[in-house]
Amino acid sequence: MTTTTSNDRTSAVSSRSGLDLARRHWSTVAPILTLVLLVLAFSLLNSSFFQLDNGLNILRQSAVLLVLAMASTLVILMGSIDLSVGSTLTLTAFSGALLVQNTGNGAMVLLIPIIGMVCGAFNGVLVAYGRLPSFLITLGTLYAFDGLANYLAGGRPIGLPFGGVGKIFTGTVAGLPVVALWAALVLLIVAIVARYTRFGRYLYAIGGNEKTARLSGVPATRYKLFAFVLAGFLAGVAGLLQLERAQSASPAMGAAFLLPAIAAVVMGGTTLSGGVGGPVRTVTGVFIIAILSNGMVIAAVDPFLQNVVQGLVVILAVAVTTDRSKLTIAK
Amino acid sequence: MSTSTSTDPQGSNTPDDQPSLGVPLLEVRDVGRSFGPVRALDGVSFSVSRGEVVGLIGENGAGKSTVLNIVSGTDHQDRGEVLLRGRPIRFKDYHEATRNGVFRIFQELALVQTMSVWENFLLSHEEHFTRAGVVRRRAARKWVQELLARFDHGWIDPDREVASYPFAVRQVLEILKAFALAELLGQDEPVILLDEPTAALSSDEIDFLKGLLMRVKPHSAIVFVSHRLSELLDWSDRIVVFKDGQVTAEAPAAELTEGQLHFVMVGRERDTEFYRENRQRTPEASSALEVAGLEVPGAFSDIDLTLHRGEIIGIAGVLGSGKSEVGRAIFGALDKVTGSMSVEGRTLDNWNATTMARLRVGYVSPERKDDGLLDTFNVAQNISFARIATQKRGWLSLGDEAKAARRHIEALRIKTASARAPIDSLSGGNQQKVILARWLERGVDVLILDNPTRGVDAGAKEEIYEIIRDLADAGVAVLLISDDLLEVIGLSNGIAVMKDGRITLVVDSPPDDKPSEAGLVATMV
Repeated sequence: MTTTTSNDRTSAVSSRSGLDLARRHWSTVAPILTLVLLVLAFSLLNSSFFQLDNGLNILRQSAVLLVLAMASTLVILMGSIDLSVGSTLTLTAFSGALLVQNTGNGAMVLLIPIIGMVCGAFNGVLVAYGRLPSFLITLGTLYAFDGLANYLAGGRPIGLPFGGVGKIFTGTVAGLPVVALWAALVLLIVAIVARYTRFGRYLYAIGGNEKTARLSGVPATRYKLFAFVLAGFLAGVAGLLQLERAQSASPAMGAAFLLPAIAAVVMGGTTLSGGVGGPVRTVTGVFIIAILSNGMVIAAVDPFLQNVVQGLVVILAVAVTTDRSKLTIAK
Repeated sequence: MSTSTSTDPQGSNTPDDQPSLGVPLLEVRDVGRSFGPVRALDGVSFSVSRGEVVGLIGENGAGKSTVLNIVSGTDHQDRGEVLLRGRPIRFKDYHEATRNGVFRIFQELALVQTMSVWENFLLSHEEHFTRAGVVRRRAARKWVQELLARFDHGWIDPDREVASYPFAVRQVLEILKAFALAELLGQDEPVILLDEPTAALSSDEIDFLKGLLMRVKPHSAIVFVSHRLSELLDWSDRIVVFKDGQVTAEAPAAELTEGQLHFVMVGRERDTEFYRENRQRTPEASSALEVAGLEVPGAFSDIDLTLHRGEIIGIAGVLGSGKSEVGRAIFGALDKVTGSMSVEGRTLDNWNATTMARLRVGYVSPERKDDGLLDTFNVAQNISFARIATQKRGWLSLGDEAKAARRHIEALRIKTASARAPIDSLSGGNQQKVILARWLERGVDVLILDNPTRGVDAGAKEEIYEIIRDLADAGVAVLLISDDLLEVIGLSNGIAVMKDGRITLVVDSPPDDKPSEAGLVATMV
């Protein structure tokens, strides 16, 4: 039936603003609600889930992902995307491990975030100054950085000597895992940068409407580069933390983080189109992913099925948080 | 059911299903349409008979495009009805409209650039050239080729990508596509809607289009929107004037002159009170901004302008005269600008929006939605943004931001629920005031305004004029670029008229001796 009658009127205009308002809140509430439901469900499924030990475990497991997701958040806020954060993690961790191995100086790991900045700068120059789409550039560097890491290491894992500087990234303080404290510090700093600095405001403006941002005097090209450099730095921090956690750099260490890092950002409510969301929201997304995988392991869900569930939850979260009233075309 | 004429059964009063000759082909009855708080159409009625060309005229935002959107099914009215051959219709999309004989030539090109000419002509109507689910490419190509030849454009290659043709040819293709579809769908009494079809055409192509329309006119109803008054008068049988979402006048084209048309379009005589002409001041002797020999290849050349402190200089010109590009070029938002520029006595070799904003030059774009608003920001964040973008400090003070926002909201009487309300909850006029507040908050010596009152109601217009006068009083030099000629005359100390990328006339515009519109219009077209 393709006939048209005058009955199928569009809904009254007045109800629209009310709906908009509900949606706006909904995109904040929905991820938290999901999180609460997950905790409830797993607690009921298995009594060992809702325990202090497991809570600390989840914190430990989510720390690296949180730091990496901070890198993704910044770039996505700006309306771009960085698919290379996982490979940056691998490359920086390998480079750090090699530096330690060759110099015998454990403190060399502290250079890892600087190496991350170089990776980020490579992406940023091509995207901002080369005016090339970030999706394709970082898709390229996703492979390039990963390949470079494996080439440097000869495809083998590299162990880290125990002790030394590593102690400030491992162990516990007052019962809390140190790695989680580092992640919390990163979160705090990124959240402050996003909300209280000119740089943060530029990220939102460029993501929201780059043309207007430029017409207001923002040197947008330069700031796009800065955002990628900062994202590279954070990916390097994630690499450092993961290296210290695992005490070795292995070829596939970053690959497993890439998609969760982006999924966490989107599930938290930061839109891929840019300009909306923020670092604090990403925390919810990270915990959804961490709790889901932790809970499913405890509940002994088949590992293959775990992936299916993870995937479906991502779809569900995106479907719930996306403000479709503003989208006319889905691509 | 897909080939039915899809009309409301209750609406068909003619017993034999044949439209009687007295019924207009297209009738719009008391149609209203609101976008949030903005009334785009407020009870619009007009009709077009078979064999008639009706010209719609009005300022930007008067509702012309909205009514065409509703007739062609791309938008829907909140009230009133549209009748086609005497029957109420409400097409769910443009595709359905075409199947019922309504064809639209879009203002923005509606061809898929990456597809070939023939594929575009057939797009969404492939079923007419399909056998067993496969498009009969050769037959379709041949049909398009013959059609192009028949309409004197046989040199166009149906296999070539649309994007490979220049803009004017693409516009012609779009026009031809409408005729092609009318033929393909067997619509022998089409309603043809043209929304500024000539804006991008050369005079040859305009003549061609006119010939085309005159050819199909006897059995069609044609609605024609144009800002070119002479063309409108020449082509139309009847003129319908839109203003602020209403039809304010209707008259046979033969009884109108261009001057009268402009008068009825604006709907009022130039009102000295409206433009606060008593507040026009003598500019200071020192210049705030000077350009000489400014040029952007393909857009404009030889532009010399001097803006003194406290002076309002207007630029008038038709669409495509290059006046908007001049504003963007001065602000540094265009590439390939050459010429000399000095701001407050400082000569600049090259400049961009960032350097200009730092030198206390501001710019308000004519396209509020496209590059004026920060639509993900709230009101306060929109107001503070140009200041933040030019401040040296890396930290923000959110408290100061809120305070500044409240100050501007009160001073400019911006109607908003709060400083933290989303910017899209405001009406167009209030959004425009927010954009002005953005530059007031930053603090400017020179402000470039391109159509600052476009799509803004009369009340907000007056408030914006008041703001512009305040700026001049504070010593700000204002460059006012506008399609609204009366606005340019009323506000400016001096006016530059542009035509085809050059300044063709420079006149003084003192409060006691304002130039006449008719005189200016004559130099514009």
